[in-house]
Amino acid sequence: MSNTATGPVSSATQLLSALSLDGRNSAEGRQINSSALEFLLPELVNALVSTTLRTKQISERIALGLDAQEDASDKHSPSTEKGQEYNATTIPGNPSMGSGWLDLPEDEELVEQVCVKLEMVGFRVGKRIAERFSPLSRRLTDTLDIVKFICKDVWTLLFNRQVDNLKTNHRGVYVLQDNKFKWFLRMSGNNGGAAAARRAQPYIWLPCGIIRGILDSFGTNTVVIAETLGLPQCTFQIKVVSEEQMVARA
Amino acid sequence: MSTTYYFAIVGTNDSPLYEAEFGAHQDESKYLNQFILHAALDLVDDAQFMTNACYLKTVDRYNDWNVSAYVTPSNTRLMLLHENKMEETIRSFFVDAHELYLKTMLNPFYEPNTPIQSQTFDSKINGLAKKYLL
Amino acid sequence: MAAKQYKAIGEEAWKNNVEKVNAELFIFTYGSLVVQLVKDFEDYGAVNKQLDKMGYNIGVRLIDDILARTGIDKCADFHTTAEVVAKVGFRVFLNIAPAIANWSADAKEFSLILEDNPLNDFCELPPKAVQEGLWYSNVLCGVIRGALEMMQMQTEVWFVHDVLRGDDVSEIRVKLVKILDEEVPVGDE
Repeated sequence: MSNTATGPVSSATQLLSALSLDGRNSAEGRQINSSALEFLLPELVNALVSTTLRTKQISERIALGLDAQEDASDKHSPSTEKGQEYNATTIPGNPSMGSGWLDLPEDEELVEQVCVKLEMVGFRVGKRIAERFSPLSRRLTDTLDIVKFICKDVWTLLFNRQVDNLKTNHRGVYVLQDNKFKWFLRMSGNNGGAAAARRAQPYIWLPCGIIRGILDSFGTNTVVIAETLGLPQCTFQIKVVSEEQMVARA
Repeated sequence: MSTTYYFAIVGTNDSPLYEAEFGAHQDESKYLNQFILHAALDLVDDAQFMTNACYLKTVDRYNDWNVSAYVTPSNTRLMLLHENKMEETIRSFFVDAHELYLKTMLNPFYEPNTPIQSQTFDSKINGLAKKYLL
Repeated sequence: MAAKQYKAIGEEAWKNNVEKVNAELFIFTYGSLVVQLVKDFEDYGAVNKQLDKMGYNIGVRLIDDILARTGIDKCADFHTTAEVVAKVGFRVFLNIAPAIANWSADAKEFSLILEDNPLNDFCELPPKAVQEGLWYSNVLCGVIRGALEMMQMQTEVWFVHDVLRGDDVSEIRVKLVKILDEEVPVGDE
């Protein structure tokens, strides 16, 4: 990536050293145990499953003409909290066993709603990553530059590695391949195959949202989807969409 | 001296996220200020294409007023209406204001492109104005 | 004496036995999650409860990880427990070591003073969240409760103060309710 702009001077230099990617690596700034996030992620998914389930139950009560408030008041007493029903049935016996990767509910529509929320959570994270880590010495305007920024700088910051492969058709489609996607490493250890792939499904929406959020910050509208051919491999496809296409989709 | 400044942060949807007046206050001038800044937005867009630096210096003039602009990497525009030319001082003001804006953006409770209502932000921006401009 | 020992164990584990990563992905993800929960529940009390529950589930899984990394086995008494939580647990995961303070006379309650809570980075609570009692980092209470339960200690853990709400310090209170396994020696003083 070329940098033709002359560097800012005086007090700008201070901000640069604190925030710019030039010369920055993940050893700088605050660090934590990489497992912290791996512990949080399954709980994030579980929490969104229970809140989505709760919302669905409330709207079902309303549809049936029942008093939605009855449920709303329930949440003050933990024993009858709707959200807990999900956890109660999915953490049998000793909850300390296993990695925390729970099986998803059967309800596909519910899983889909959870994925939409996860994508939004990721999107908000992506917006902040873009603000926090985008270089200040130059503005990224070319989509390929932004995608490269994601593949190299962002991936290194987040996962201590770059993506393994980046392909583009030069017509607005970019494909990122990570052969050892960090968040899948623990999952693949269990039983692989279809069950693991289904369990992994919600988790790919979080990084999809992060990637879309970063691109959105630089003014590029995209659709980002991901698939895994076998854990821990993961492929992200970024498709640039024009304003008109955005309107058509909505 | 009664120098007046008008500062605004303009979101990617062209709506103002934050506005402040520093120095001598004139209530009736607010709408004129908004009008001048809004009119200068197109010129900011033009100036952006000429450089990939964040600080675009003075992009427009209106009577005695200069309009200076700074574009963040994510295309939020910081704009300042001022009478005197003082390029480097305004650069410093923008860079520090950008850092404050950045902190606001990183707050999980802040929705991008919505008005900035944080009291802390407002008082810190006024602090910057005192430090650099007044 | 013992305090020094656990401090050293925690620092040693952090230095040599932990894969470190830039904290901000975690911080942003946690923040984004809290905001989503606020949207979903529209009730800060329910959000506190949900965060605590998530923390509990994390705590019961995380304890094995800590024990494995540090070789710590069990805690002789509740004073030791406090040391292990503050100097080992927090150090190994978040690279901070809260101070232990405000012991109760019966030695069954203590406080953790968090001078530097990474979860709080960048966060500024909206006035409504402060008024209606959101404890932004409540997940930490659940983690402590879950981890200690796996060590046969039933506890209550809650936030007393939080700088995000305008308090001078962030303080978590830990109260021992009962020992779950009779075989574990209790620190009776």
